[in-house]
Amino acid sequence: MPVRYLNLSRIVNIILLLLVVVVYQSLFSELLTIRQIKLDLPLLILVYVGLTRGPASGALFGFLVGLLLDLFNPSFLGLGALIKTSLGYLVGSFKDTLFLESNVSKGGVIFLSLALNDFFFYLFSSGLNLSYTFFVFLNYTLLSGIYTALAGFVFLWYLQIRKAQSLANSYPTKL
Amino acid sequence: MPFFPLDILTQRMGLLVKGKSSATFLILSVLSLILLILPVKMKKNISEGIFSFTYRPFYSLSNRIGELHQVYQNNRILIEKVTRLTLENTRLKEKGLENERLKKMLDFKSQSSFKLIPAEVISAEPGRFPGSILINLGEKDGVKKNMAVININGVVGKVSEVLVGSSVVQLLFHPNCRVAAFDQRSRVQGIVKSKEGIILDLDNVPLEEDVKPGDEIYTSGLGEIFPAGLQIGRVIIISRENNSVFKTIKIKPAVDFFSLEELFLIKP
Repeated sequence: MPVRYLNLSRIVNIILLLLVVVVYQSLFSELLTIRQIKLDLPLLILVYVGLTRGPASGALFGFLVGLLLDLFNPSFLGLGALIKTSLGYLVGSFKDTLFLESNVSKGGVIFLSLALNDFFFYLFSSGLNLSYTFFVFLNYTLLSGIYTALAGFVFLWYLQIRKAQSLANSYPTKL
Repeated sequence: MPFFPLDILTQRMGLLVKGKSSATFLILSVLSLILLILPVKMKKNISEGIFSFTYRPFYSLSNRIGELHQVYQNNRILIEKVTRLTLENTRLKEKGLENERLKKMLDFKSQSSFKLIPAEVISAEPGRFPGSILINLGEKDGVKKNMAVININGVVGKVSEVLVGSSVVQLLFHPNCRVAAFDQRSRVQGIVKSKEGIILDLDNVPLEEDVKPGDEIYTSGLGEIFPAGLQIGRVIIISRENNSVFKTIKIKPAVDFFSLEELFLIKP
């Protein structure tokens, strides 16, 4: 395996992002929940990793995040990991296409990712019970998806501003 | 630009089966499936193991923070409670002392041959040595001017002004207050008045008369305001001024004028 594949900085970045997920789930997830509508920060980070790092990183991060979240449902250990691995790979596959698109489209990717994640998770965890899956989808997933997509939109917009500012500072103007 | 261009999608789908990304995806998917098909007990053990070094430290921290916050809240409540209880305790102690005083006064009243009207001090005249006080009885309570005012220790003063619901009492050391008195031991007569604030003077006692330090001074009843037999104070200093035919006799009052609370008016 080429050394460059095992990029140390990438590994450190992924570990840090996983730490963010763990801290968020442990300490802050309840604080950011509005009337049972949760902010799915792990999925938001997964989409961000996929869109910025590509399918391999997306799949790896998806696997690890999925595994971390499956710890809360030991009976379904591996299901969340499988779904998020697939999502991370799929989102990462559109890296070069969508990364330069508008933030609105990225918000849309976040929403769709969440919808797919929830749909497959509840479908398989309920034993292919479609009515239960659609019930959860309509009552929780839709609003959670909008909430998470909005948060992602704001976050990406903030990143763009910071990037523009740093670019402006690095190019001195000539009088 | 369309959200999902079909040509880009097709191009990407072609790449899905190639490259190290695909290998990564396949390996991770197989790992996930393996985890999924493990026995439930093994899954629980694995979950427990990973949970203990990932989430548990943060949950412990969160619990600690919660406990500290709870301790802080409880502390505030307890401080408030202690403050309230301390104030209540002080108030009850005061009530206890008041009760003792009132019991003594009740004994005093029942033993006294005078008709006594109990009264309370409302306020004192502002100043270092207040010469008069305000009591809570007035015309509507049957108070009249020049009524003698005493407490359990002795003579306090006399009523100088009567209002509807309150009265002004001129204290013994008011410059205008005069009391006919006598030495209980030697029966020497004199006039008690105040020249220097809280220490009283027994005036008009000739040089040859027998008055000694420690003698008790009482009202003689000759002034028609204060009945006879009420304690005024005790002789502390006896001296003689140049070219005077009278003794200079200083009396320490029996009453503590700086802690007047419950009083009695003597009904004529």
